[in-house]
Amino acid sequence: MIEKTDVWQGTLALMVLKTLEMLGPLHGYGIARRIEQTSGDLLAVNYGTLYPALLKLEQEGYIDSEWGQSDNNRKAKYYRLTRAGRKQLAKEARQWGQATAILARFLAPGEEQS
Amino acid sequence: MRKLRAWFVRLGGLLNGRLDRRRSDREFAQEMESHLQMHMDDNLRSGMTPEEARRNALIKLGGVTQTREIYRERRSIPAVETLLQDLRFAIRMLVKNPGFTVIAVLILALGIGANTAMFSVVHAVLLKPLAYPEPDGIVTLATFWKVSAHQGQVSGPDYHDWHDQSDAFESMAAYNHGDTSVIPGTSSSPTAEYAHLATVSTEFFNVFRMSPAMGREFSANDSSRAARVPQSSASISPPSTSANPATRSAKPCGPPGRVSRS
Repeated sequence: MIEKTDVWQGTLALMVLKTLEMLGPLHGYGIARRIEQTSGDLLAVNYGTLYPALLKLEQEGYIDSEWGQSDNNRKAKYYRLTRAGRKQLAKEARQWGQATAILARFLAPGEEQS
Repeated sequence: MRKLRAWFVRLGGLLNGRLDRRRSDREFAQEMESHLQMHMDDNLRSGMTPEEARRNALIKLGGVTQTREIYRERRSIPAVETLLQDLRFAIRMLVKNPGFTVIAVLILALGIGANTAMFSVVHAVLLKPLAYPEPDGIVTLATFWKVSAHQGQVSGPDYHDWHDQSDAFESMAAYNHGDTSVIPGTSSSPTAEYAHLATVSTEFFNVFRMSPAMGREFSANDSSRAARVPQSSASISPPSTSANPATRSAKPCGPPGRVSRS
């Protein structure tokens, strides 16, 4: 159970970092919506699980947070990518690319033989 | 590196007082609230009724209580936090029950004191080197009895043979001690007393490289049977003797040897 969440949080962290890189400073709700939209309905996850992940990223220094005003004048906590976060994103994206490439080769053995 | 940073942040969270924790809880609640509001706004815009909008937003957010728990656990280190709580509780209880506290402290003090005392004795008797120059050169000689496999005193003739024939030692002395009667006081008014005396051979002070506290040192002539020089140190002075140690009767030179290697 715990391991499962850990794995999930690992990928979730990457999604959060990527979202912040794409969209700039954003509140938790915005990040959650964005992740949901990007993944389609494939990732149907409680929005709540996002917040501990955000706290972890902030403790690790990958993101910053600040209270601000949303577009329709709601008070919201905005998260922003730090320089360390940018570096971490590049590193993790590269690792994921390698991992998926290797897996893809395993799962499509026909191409390898031809 | 980053993981370490996160741990330090969480360690810092431990030091936070109740007010900090409450503020953090409040901020989390505010964040949840703002999340719900924004979600409801969106839902309303997409044509839901206010009730529907709220219900949908709450369902999507999931269990807030559970999330708050995870959030709190992340904020500091729960295991250490519990430990600190237990410590605080223990101190409160000790303050509340002074009788128990006093007894516990006394028992602890007694235990620690007894151990300290025992170690002090062991240290002074066994571990600490003797208070003489080059103490590791001082050894005790004894006769080993083959029959009974015991160590025993050295006989006078043996001592003299060892002393005269062995060149393994820088100096060698014999001593014997015991309770015996002495005659302190002046020669005009002698008194008889019982005292603990040590009888030593002439090289005794060479072995320990010390000088007698009172009286004069031995000379080579003193080993003749006629000459007997009383030496006195404060610890062995009989109570009635004054600054001038009186002549005392002495027992003949006893066997065990105490020697110093060169």
